[in-house]
Amino acid sequence: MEKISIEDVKHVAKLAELDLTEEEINKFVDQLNIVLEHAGKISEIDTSGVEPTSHAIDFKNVFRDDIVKKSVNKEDALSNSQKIVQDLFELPLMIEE
Amino acid sequence: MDFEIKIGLETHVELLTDSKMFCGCSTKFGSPPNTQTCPICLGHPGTLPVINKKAINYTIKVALALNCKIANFTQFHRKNYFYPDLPKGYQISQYDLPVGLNGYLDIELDGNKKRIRISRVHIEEDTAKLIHFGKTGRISEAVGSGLDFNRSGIPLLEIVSAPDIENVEQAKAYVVLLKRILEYLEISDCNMEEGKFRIDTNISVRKKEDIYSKVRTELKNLNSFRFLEKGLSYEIKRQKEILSKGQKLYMETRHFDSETMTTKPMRVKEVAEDYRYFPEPDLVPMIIDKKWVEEIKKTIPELPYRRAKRIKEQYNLPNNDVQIITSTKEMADFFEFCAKTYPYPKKISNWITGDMLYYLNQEQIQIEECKIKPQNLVEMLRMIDKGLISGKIAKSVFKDMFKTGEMPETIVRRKGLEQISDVEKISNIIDEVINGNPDVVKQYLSGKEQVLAFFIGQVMKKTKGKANPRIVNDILKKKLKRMSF
Ligand SMILES: [Zn+2]
Repeated sequence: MEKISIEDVKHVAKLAELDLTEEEINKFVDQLNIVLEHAGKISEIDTSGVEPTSHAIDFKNVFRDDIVKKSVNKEDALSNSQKIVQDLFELPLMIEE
Repeated sequence: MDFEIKIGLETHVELLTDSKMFCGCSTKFGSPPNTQTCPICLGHPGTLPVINKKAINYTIKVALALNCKIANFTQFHRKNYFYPDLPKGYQISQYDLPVGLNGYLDIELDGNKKRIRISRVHIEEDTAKLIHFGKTGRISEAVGSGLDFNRSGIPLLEIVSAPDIENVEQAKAYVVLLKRILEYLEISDCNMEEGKFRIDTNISVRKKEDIYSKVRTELKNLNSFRFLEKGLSYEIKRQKEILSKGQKLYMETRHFDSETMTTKPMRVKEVAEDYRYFPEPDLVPMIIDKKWVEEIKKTIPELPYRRAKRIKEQYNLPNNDVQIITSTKEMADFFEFCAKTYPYPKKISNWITGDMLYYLNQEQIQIEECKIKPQNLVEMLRMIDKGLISGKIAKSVFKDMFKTGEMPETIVRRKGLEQISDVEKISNIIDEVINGNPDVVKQYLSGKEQVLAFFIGQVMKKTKGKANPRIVNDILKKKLKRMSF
């Protein structure tokens, strides 16, 4: 079975915007390989004839009608923003020069 | 050098539902920032989305109209990436099991039909709106940015074409037709200025012999038909020039700059495109059975192409008229409403494609926004037929109707515009004109028959254009003939 490499961990860390130390990277390589190994055991089970499924519950077609409900007020909506500008969530500068 | 051009279009359309895709917040456009939000569309942890059924109905409707196969089993996936307008760190979208697959749209250019394949039609949620502060409001010159979550979670349809488009004209024809179909389906108002109909493109230019080249450029921010045309033309020219110099093209995302009408590479920090899609655990899959599909099929109106064909045949109108009349659903409805109660379709069409179109363009409004209703036009046409007003007077009546929405009789009565068909009255006026112009009479009698127009003009002047021209002509000729003996 394929193993998780240092490069894999670095790649995933980059996608998750995480800064990891060399030490952490090595630790995660080992940990993730244990998880993968365990998942590999599951794949030993014969699943021929079993439909693939993505959910643990056998529910289908759960919908709501197109009805407008009351939104939260603006002050509450913005209360989690560190900075507010003109009733907007203010962002750090987006361009990298 | 011979080039091969392949263009694929990705169109995003905000659906006309009242509430958002996964929560009950309103989708109303133009409200003050951050007044239509809740923990779900703000992306707070621990919240649970619930699917808006109408959005799924609309998606099926569009997929059917674009000749797609409807998936029996379909579900949502998480598309994972970081961007400030996406607080959850993922967008709820669709991946390998979209609602619609493998459809097509037939466009027509100069009488030639071309089939553009539709790869997929899927449904997702819109992101929050980024607002940039600075001189231009553009990201490249922004001195700061803020987020408005009113747009976050609005149902967003994505329609992806195969790279079957070969030039700018085809791209434009595709987008125009697609937009018209969506308007006919009444699933979006497709307002481009409000960002409810957005176009991204993939362009690949390669040398004919270079068959393995898969390099393509993504071009974003083409938010009007004009920008689509300018952006694509510029990008094709740019790529051809690079290849002609023997240089290489690179995969990149470029941004159309409407100020310089050129394209520029995106300066925003590039994120590796690795979305790690996985099935959305918060939403269970959907089964779209035959019965459901049949129900939606019933809601699809006659689509533009078929309607144009039928209108042409049923009312025997020239192509040019049909094209204008079916350019919007509302205009076609207006025409057909008139045609139901008035028997001469060509006369209706003449007024719609003539004066009506002129005033609509002048006022920059759509037919459904104008004050003239089908009954007004039909009544006016009947008055012309009955000889109550002349064609010339009708034009001024039409202009008044356009302004006020009054019925034509009311305008005619108020302004005293009734046509004069009284033979004795007209005869008296003609006598006045003949007696007042002995020199011109002499000219006529000596064989200069074109001066007849002068007499008619004089009579019309005296009656303010209200005299029935046929009667004027008849009497005038008779009287002059009598004088020649
Ligand atoms: Zn909400």
